[in-house]
Amino acid sequence: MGVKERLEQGLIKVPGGSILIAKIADIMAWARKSSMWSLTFGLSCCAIEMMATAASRYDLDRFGMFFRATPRQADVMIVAGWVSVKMAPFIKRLYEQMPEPKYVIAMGGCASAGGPYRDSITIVKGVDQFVPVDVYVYGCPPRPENLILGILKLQERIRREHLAEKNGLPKPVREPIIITETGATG
Amino acid sequence: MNEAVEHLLQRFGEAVTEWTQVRANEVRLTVAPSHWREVAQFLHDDPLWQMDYPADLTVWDTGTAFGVYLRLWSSVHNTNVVVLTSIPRDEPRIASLASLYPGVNWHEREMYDMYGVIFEGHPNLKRILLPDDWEGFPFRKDYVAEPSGDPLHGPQPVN
Amino acid sequence: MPVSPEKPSTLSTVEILSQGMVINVGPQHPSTHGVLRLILTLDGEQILQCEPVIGYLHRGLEKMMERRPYRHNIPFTDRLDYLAALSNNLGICQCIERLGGVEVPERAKYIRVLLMELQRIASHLVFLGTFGTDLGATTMFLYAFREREMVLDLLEECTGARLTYNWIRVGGVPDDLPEGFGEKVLAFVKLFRERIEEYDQLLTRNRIFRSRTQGIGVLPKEMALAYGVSGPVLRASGVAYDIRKVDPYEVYDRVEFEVPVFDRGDVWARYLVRMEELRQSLRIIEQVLRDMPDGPVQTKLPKIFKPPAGIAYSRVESPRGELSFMMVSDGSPNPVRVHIRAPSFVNLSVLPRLLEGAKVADLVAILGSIDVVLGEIDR
Repeated sequence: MGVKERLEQGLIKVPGGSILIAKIADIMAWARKSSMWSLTFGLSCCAIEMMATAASRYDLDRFGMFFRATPRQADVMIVAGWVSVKMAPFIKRLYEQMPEPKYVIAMGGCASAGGPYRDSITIVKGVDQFVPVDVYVYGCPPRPENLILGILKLQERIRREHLAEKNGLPKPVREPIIITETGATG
Repeated sequence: MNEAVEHLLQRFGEAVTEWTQVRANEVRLTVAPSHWREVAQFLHDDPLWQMDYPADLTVWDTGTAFGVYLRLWSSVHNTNVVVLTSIPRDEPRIASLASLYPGVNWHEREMYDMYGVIFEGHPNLKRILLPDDWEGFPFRKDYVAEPSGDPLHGPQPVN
Repeated sequence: MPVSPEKPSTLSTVEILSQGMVINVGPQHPSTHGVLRLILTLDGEQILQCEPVIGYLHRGLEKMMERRPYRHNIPFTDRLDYLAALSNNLGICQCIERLGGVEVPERAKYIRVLLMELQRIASHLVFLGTFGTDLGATTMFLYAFREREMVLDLLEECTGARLTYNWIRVGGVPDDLPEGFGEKVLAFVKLFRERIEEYDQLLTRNRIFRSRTQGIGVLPKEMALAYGVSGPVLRASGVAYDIRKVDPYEVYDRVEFEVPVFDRGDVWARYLVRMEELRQSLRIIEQVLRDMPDGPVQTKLPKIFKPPAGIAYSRVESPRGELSFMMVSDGSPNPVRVHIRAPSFVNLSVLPRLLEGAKVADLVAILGSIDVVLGEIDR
């Protein structure tokens, strides 16, 4: 009963029956967090690690992550690589084409802040200059474990956001999650 | 390869200003820019050379002139040749080899993109790596980028 | 994907013809292997014209290298062709060694060749995986990445990184192989021989795979030479141009291996060349481990390294073809010019010719068989 454990809050048990009643918002939040579809969008080296994360050993399917080729079916965009001024308008357009709610993971040093190419004139110093970023993942390129930690933290956040809404609490400000060498902050 | 070099010197004389045998199967030539295309054509056609494989072409900025570097390989003789020349910085023009070696087409476009060297006779000389509306030629030693505050356009500031 | 409305000048670089339909592929496309954009002009299903648009990853790397001392540039080369970081490390180190006349100890040469061939296997496995996926054999992706993780484990044990190794230095390698590394590599070689048989069963003997690759995207020998393509693409067109044989570096002249050459010049031949290279790499690895001498692995160099003025170039056979670095020095600690002859850059330039008259459905197969890495095309 994975559903039961994950919906422990807001769940009404019917005595003597096997029906679970929950608010539709909870079920949706749980479903959305468990099926974050990602945009097939690789830029450079990090894209290879992203592929490795999706492949045999690390198997992103375990977390409900599945790569979709079109932004219209995607919930999360993993910006995996450096962003040049020639590419930036395309990334912005891809982001705008994704349906709400949508999330952005900046994977690696280049997407977070320009990385080793910070003093190059054609490189944008971080994708957060033109799209909002939810998770920054450390590494050059990040190990698959790092990326997976970022994804798990994002899933927790998606879950929490909707619980807060349900309980009448103000929606938390979207402080970015930062995955560092020692763990996650934010 | 000495015989082949002799043959080349006979044909071009003064236009080949310098040559050195770098290795057993490699020669380095320095030629006058006016004979760039003719020398390449000769190296391509002559039975002693038969340089049919364009390996590399590039340009560099010495601060006073642009050096041009062409490397060829012969699939028949397994020999290499490096051809060098120098063109003035204020009038960077040289004959294009794209019709002779289609493989240098993109190299020449790239060098136009980065240094603004005009390859005369090139079929499609336009920017290849930089955005089409980029201003200036960034690989020149005196290029200074104007920082732009807009992340979607133009040179990025360093901070 | 539509292009940005803010920059009308980059909208389209081909004139719209009165006949034919113009279709845009990329830069975000699952089968372009990176951010490559192709503007195709179609007549029905036939491609009339193709114009590749590149530069979406351009970062002015060659210029950035001019601002740094020679040896500080090695980490940048990891991120050129990120599937074969070690080959790129070796390329730049060889160039600096030739410029400065640096000798490399014997043991370091063997270690370099060992790492190069492991890298070639890892890179070709990514090719097999993505190429299989492109043609509909998604299982191949999982198989290839399973074995690739084994190679990456070996390389990680030696270098400490999974992808960007930065492990070749000017004058050798930074450290000796870890203890027991040879046995682990040999165990992998033994296992991998069997796994290649599995790939053969899955792809080589697959009827659908064959009909999607045979006779598609034929590159004649003369055109291949004139365009300067290299690596498996050139060898599939019948030219035995492998830098490891033509201009042997390190200890490639002391090991026995064959250069696979096919005359067909089609997508199928390019696939077969890479499959055979996997087997030859295993042969090289075994010989290198057998013959490796003991001794130092690094030549001592001054702290500030100033090579004499001059021009030097080096070339190595990266998994994608002839990777050449050309450097100009004026005797100062920084290079005047670093030029990278990226094999994918040249190999991609022949794509418009290959696609002329091809069917749209074969675009993915032809592009996949060239096996480009956009990181080194855009530099």
